[in-house]
Amino acid sequence: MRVRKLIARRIALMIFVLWGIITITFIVARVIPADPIGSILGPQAPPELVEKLRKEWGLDKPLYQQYFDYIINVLHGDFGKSIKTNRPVLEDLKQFFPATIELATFSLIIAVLIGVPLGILSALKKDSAIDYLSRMFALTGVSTPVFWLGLVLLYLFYYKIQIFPEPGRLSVGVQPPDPITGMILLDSLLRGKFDVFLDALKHIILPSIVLGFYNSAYIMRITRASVLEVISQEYVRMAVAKGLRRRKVILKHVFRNAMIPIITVIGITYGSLLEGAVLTETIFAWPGLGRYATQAFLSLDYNAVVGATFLIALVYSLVNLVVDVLYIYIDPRTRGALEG
Amino acid sequence: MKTNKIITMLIKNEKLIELWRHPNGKIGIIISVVLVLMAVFAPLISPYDPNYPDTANRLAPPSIKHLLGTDQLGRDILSRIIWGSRISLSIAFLAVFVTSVIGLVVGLVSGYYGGKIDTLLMRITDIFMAFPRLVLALAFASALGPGIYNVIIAISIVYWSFYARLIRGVVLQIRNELYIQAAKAVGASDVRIMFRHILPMVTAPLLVQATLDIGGTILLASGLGFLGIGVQPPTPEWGVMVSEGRRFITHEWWVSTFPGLFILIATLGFNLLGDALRDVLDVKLKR
Amino acid sequence: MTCLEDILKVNNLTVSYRTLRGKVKAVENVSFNLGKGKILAVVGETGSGKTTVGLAILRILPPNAVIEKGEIWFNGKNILDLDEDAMRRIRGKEISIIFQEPKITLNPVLKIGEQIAEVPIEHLGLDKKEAYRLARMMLERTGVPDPDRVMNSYPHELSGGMAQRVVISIAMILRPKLLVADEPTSALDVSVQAQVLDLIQELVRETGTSVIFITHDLSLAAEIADEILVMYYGKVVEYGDVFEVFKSPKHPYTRALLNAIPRIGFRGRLKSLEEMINE
Repeated sequence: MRVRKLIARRIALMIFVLWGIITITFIVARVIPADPIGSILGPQAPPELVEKLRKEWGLDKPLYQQYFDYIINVLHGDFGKSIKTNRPVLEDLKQFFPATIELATFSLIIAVLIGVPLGILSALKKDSAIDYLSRMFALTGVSTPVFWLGLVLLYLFYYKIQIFPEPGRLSVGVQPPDPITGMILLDSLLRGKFDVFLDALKHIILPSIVLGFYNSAYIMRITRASVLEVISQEYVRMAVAKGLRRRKVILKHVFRNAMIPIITVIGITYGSLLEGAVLTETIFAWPGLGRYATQAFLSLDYNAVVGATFLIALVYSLVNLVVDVLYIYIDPRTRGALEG
Repeated sequence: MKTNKIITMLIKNEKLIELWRHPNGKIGIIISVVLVLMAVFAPLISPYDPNYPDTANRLAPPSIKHLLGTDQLGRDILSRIIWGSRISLSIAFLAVFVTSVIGLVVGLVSGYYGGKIDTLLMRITDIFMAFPRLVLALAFASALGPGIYNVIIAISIVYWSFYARLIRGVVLQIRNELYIQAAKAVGASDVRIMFRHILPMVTAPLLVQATLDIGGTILLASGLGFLGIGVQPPTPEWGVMVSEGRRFITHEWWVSTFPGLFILIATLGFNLLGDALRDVLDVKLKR
Repeated sequence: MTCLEDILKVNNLTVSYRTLRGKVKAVENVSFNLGKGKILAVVGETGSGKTTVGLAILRILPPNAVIEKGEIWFNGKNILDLDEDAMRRIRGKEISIIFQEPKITLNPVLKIGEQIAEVPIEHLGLDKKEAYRLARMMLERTGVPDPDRVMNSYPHELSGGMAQRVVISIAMILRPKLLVADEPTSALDVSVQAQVLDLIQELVRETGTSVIFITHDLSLAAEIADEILVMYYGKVVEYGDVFEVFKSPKHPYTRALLNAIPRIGFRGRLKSLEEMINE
């Protein structure tokens, strides 16, 4: 019962935050720019065209009216049309969204697979050579600009030593499978097209490593800190004093507690991946939300700006919601004292 | 004579000595100090004018004449990097300063008064923190238009919530300590309590976070520059330089590689410094 | 005071800690014996080394501790010579420990039942059902109301007194030969202290367990101990039968401690430690 109340409160917060996201995107798209249409069309634009667009976009209405219309539109998924693609932004989003999710999720898996074990090893063998090297790796990892790393690795492993294929999701001439989820890796498996799967896999590895690099370093540091903190707790000393085997102590008493903050971190990491995707997609010609958003920002394609920003923030909020709910289940202390 | 006094005070400060002895601290101090000096004395140490196009030597590889090579317009990369440090560091320092001040005020008020103000302010930070940082910075930077000050504003909008939360956390921890209640009982005004009693406790975590965020801001700002939003060419911002060199990566790798390397070193330096500060000041920051 | 019924014999135990400022001696040349079913109180201020002695007996000292010299004889063997696996089998089964703050001694994310049951599961190879039944019986024995509910609770849901009863259940469930109790009542409310103390005394009388009772409270020691060991800066300054020590303390520190016990109706100035030692 308590759990349900906590979850309900968390969802209510999410709704409030969504409203906030909508408002901020509105501020970015309508309130701040002095003359959105003028900056797009340029000073030579014929006044009739400017006026037409103004009416079309509803810019002639008072601000609060625009705001209400805006909220209603967003809730219907209507972001207007993109100036670049001349399609409804919603269509663009539907097309580019899966590619980013695929890349971000794959990178998350890599980041966790590298970061967590390294962090645990580092903590258990504190102050050893492994610990020292891992910490150096981690410090460097969180200091590395992801776009530069992408360029350098692309140069090394695509151009110089040709291990990895050219930037993009698939090789030229390879047809993506008919979309079910929009994620080529999943779709090709589901449709049994294993050669496409392999090609897609080869293409996603390098961008995932680049994108996951920063996050594996971050996860490693948090894991190490968490394990170290748990090991120093009294209840771990008690577990040893009970005469339990070392492996049991570590698995049952240390890990169960150490993993709790790490779950939260993984949520934050996903946000980091989403923003890293913006940079990585540009370098690896990955047709995803990040690249779409960047081009929208650069060309002042405001409808696309709003749509892309909103969607990214929405995904991030959802991931954090899931993580917070999971946390309520995993850590009994969040539930408070017993009734009665 | 005043500088002598400051230096002696610095050297005698035992925390600084501990920081120097800390393995990471030593490297962090060296890197940050070198960078700051580089930025301050750029006109003196830069071998060439950063904007001077040596058209005869375009895309020249690293040599004695041009230590880090030249770019597509023949500009000396080392000089551009040195001048670029001014940009990256001023953005970083200014943005962190502004965010600390805003975050400090918000955090103090929120934590100290609690109640509805606290809830309202924290919900607002929730909204700002719902965006991944780069995305939010991109949104505001592109809406505000190009220019270094707009970049600083955009970055501040992104970071302030973290500081507000951090400060508020500290305030909550000590708000119920006896010495605060004692001050209240004697009739000290709220403002006085905040300044004399709470502020000193907040300085340590704030300093650690600010140092770490200087590194983060350098990364963020260079990301913006790389994407072409905020600082524009021909300004020698490191991210912009990496972006400009992108087309030549296959044969003239130095144009992109060296600026990016400096981003890494700068960020690493401040991260090391922040880490060491955290250990020395024994600050247990929230997970 | 050696006799054939001794459960524990500590000879010349010396333990130091490696710190940033070099090696610090925590315990120096500590020797004592503990008879079967007897309670030895180890008394001293913070930093006297009394906790270190307790940890050394279970060999759960922190990693920066160094046992410089000494022997700890238990069950006819010097347990300082045992390998880790042999020592592990002794912990929780033959020698147990309870610490000062029960709530942090318990794992916050595991249910109480599991934390008690894992001891017999590990040492006796019982299956889950039997172990849980044994755990529940132990909770009843330690006077926990509504044991079924407690078995299913988490540590943060319990009061301090209840939590300490749980810890005592864990320590005593396999009827160890030796119990080390490190300030078991110091963190509890005064009203609960007496209850827990009585519980410990009852249990050890029932099971014949010998106890090393570590405390800073001399009057508490007087209440429950048969013998008393007074420590000061890592060294033993007084050791003997509790009545003897209280009647005629040999060391000025002991005398100072005794003088410091508050007495109702006392008028006049309390003497400081230095003053008393100088006398």
